[in-house]
Amino acid sequence: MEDSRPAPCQACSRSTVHASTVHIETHSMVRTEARMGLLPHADRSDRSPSTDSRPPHTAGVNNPVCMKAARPSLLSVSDSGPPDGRANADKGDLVLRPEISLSRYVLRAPSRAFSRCWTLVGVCCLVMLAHPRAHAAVLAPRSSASPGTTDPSQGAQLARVLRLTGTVKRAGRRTPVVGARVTVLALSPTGDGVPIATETDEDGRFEFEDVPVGAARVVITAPGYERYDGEITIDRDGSRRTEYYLKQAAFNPYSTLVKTRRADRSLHEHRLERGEFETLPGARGDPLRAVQNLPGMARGPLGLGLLIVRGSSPRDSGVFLGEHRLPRLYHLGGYSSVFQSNLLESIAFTPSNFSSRYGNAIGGIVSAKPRAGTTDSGVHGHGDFSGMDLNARIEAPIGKGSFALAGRRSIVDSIFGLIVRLTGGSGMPMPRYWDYQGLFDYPTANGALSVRVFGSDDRIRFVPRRAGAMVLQDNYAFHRVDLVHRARLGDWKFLLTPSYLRDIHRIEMVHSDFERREHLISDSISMRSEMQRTLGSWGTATVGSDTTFKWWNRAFAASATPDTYDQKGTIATPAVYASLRVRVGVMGVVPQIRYTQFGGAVQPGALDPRLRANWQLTETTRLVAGAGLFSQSPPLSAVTGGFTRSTFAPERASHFSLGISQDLDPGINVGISAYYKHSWDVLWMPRDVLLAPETDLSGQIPKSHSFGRMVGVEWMVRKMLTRRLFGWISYGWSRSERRQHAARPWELHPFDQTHTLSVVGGVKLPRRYRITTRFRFMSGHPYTPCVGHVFNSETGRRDCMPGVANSARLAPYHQLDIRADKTWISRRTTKSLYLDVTNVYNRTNTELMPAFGGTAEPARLGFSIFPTLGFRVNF
Amino acid sequence: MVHRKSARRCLALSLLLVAQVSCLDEDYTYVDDSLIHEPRVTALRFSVVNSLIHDDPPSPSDLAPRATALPLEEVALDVSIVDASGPMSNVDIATKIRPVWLACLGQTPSTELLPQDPTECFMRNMPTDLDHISACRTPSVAAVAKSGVPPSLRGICRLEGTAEVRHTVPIAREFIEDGSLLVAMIGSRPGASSKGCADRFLGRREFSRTCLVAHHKLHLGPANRLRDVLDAQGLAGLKLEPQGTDEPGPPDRNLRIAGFQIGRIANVGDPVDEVLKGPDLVEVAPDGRFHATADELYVLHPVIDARDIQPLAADESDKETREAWWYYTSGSGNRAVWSDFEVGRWKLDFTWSSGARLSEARAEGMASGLVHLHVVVRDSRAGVGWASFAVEVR
Repeated sequence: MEDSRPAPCQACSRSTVHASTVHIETHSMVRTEARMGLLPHADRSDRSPSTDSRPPHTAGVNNPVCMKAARPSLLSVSDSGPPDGRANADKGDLVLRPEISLSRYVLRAPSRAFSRCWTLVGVCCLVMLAHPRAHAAVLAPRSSASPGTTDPSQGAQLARVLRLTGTVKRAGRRTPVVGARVTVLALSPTGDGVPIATETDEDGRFEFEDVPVGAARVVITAPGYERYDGEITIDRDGSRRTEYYLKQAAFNPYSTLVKTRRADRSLHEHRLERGEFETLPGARGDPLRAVQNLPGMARGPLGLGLLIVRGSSPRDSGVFLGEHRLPRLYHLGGYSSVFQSNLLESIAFTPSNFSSRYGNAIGGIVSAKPRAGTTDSGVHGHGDFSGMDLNARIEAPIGKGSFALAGRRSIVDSIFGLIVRLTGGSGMPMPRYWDYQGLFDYPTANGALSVRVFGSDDRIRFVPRRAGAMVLQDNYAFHRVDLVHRARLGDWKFLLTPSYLRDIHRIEMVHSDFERREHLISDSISMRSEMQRTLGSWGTATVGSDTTFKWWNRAFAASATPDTYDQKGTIATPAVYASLRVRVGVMGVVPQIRYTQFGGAVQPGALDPRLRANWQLTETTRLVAGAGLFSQSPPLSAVTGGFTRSTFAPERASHFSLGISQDLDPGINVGISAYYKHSWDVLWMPRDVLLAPETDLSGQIPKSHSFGRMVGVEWMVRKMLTRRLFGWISYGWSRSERRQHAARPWELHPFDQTHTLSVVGGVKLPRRYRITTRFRFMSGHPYTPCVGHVFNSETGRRDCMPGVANSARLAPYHQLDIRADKTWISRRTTKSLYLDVTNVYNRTNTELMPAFGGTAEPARLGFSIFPTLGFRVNF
Repeated sequence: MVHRKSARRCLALSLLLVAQVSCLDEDYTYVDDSLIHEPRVTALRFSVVNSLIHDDPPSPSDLAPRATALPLEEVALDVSIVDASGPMSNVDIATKIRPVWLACLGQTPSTELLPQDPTECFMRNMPTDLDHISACRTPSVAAVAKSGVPPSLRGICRLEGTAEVRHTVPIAREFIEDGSLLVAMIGSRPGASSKGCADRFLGRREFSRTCLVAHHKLHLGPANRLRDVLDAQGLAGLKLEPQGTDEPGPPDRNLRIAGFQIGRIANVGDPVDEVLKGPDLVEVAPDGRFHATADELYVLHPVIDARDIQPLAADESDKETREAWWYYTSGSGNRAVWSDFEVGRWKLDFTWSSGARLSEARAEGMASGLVHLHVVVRDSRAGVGWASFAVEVR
């Protein structure tokens, strides 16, 4: 919803104000220039203040003419000119006139004193109306230059003219502010300053060739930033170069409005852009975690961060980083993601009917797009220390390109280990994790070249106090190298990206008289190539291939059993895909197709046609629909020979979805989606609940004839509640069932969640405090109840006999999380102190105890209240 | 087994990051099942009663029967049930518990990390009504010989018998390939019927309060003698899947408890070995009686008939486990199960007191009177043995 309404102070412009070019921020973040007093009233705006539905004080906050959005702050860093501009004034070069002071006072009115502002506005307007010449003395040139133009030559009438150059940067980050409006008003001895203005270029630079010598006011405005208003002195001795730092506005309501429009762009997909990451509530500072709050995503047990998309198993959904698949999205325990989110450009979550670019998944897709490192001058980065981990990033330009390096290491394991040692308490196994990222981007003649190196390592180790007891260790790790080359030739776009991935999973159990070690290690080379051609204004065609070669090795050895093995093999999975994006009037249709030849023991290949369509019913109403087939390979542990079967069919699913998006009011958007999924030939895992897909299941005999069906309705309301409150509410109803084969009755899927409600929101308080919160209410996970105890004469124990599968349900889950941030911005750094409290009211949610040893009893194993204090520095 | 069980659970909990749950000690899975106050199944046992193996030289006739069987051998299956008045006789079992017996072939092999529910074999094989389950068939050697391959008998069948069942092991492909036959005993407590319990069990409906359910596996063995037995039965041409390369060894036999050694200690933690070798040691025969003083601590040790013990090489001690499960009708004990092999002997001893000296939580019942103690000993070669004695507390 773009809104280019001028601020209420436009009332001032009813007078014949001369050539004062001001910048007015608009709702759409599109700057609009209104030359005060020069444009007819109707040209300035087709809305009179009386018809403006916005509260006057609300609009006025961001009107730089009327007042500053916040207290002006002089933050110039380098100054090649004389250090004390007032010294020149003392020499008598300039004389400040009272009118100017009045104008300045108006311009510098504190943003918090709204009523005061309007009083001053009234005074201002009255003065201008009653004394045009007085007004002219403030802003108008003396010359007869045509009004509305900036005439640099006018300055020559005052004194010598000199060159003024400078750079406008974002305070704390030192990134250039592009398109900032820089206005210089010479404070002439006669008081007849002439405003001249320009905009910063893509490097944040500006330049004035003819600035009169002497004192001058500099006013800088840019959307999303606080207004800068300061004085400088242009010395007679030469030119001057200055750097200005603009503070980012504490709250920019317009950006939220744009987000709302973007969110409803497609009901197929929920997309989070980089600009939203920092303020995303419920993410604990990690936007990849925020994906769990979106409609279509159920909560995994014990907060493990499993991707349960519309009732599917976690292994049915894929995570892509860049153009290739990621083995896992979160570190063990789901505390944080394996890739630092501040190196991401965007995150997209597609719960069903995803593009043919993506395959080997029958659930949903999470796709994260890495960003390039900064090309701004200087070195940037951050350091973050919290009770969970320590992470840092550094990035800088290299020639025309850039690089970025980042890393993270957990400390929670050390902290808990220390607590255990000091208290002599029980062992509390906590994960040790670390990850690293290295990005290099360089522009080429027709495109760009990117190199990405990143990886992750997770280990959880349990060492009991008593000597000689079992030592357990589980280790997940991966390392990946991507090479990405993009090129554009005319209407063609090309993509070529090879990738290497090493994925490691090790389990060790060591006891004084027993030892068991096993691992599954795979090396993969993936290659994606893609061509895209723009077909005029009506469509785009894309063809591509996506091939993966995998070498795997699985080994098992145990001291108590002779069943050791060391297996190796290869799997090739080539795939081709194509899509045609067609737009005809208000209709958009995207037919797609993908063929995948699964390798190894999976036969035959799968042809997946897909179709997505959207229809812009009205300006505010949009309808989307999708249908398609999807396929995936059974888990690697199955197809690599761990099972006794020789061949498997690809697991298949069909997706159908229909959604409607409606803008009810600027700032409010409602999206409703309904879906149905049907799956078949899915590998039946009797005990696959709770365990990651990489878990070794060797020895089990899978049945690959099971069926599944999922149906549900989701809605989401995103609303900017007030100017400082923001958030969304999402609710989903679903039912997910499966059956082992056609003759068996349907049973609830282990990950079925009937109701999922997420309320996330944040409030921005004065002095750069921010509080975000998340409340979630979910149906309890289904579980298989214990219907009786059966005596196992071989072991001597009484085991719980499971009843009908998933015929009972745990108590509902609900939890409140709150995070409070305080940010300080200085010229070169931004510092934040935050407190993240999980499970604020210490709810003990009942979680599912895995059915080890034949028991299927639920246990109260939820996390208690968990506060985390952290400190972050950006530079 | 205790170690592995704990390890699995600890690993699972670790994986699931249940930081508030500790699992330090190997016996944290311990559940006090040792106190008996109602009918309880404590063991099932297979015994080969018609061996087709002709040893050379023949095995001594006074050895315990084999616990593993080969096709076409006849086995006996009996059950140990104890209640507050001591071990139940076969007559009592037949009249009060009224067990029915089911056999299942084609069970999914269990896994290391994800143990398969043994009862899955019964659940997976329809029907779920006891009346629709047919009696187990007696294998026909002639029919098998004619087909040339072992028949597939996957599914469940009903075994005839009550307190003790006799059954001829089928020559079935599932038994030979999977290596085991699963048998379940379903009995009822007063107020319920065994058929109703069986239907509830098969239909996965609540049955705990009124039913007794137990299962046991009959393992194939000795595997290296399978071909010999088949040849002897005229099935020399029978085509079999390649069998395991088990090294020839002594047959796996059940265990016989020859008696009990009982000594008194002053405090928990006192050296037991000295007591068991000391002059004050008392020996009690199975089903015998022992007089004890109230609240004294006694060390109880089952004496296993040495002739039944499988010979083990010095370096093979880690290949076998042996467990003694103790049950009592009153008093308190330190642990329910021992499974340690130490300094050349199996430490199967158990400390018991008629009062609550060992565990208040486990103390129950009278401080004086007649108390029944019962032990079940298992080894890792399918051998099972049990015995009881009574303690008169003064």
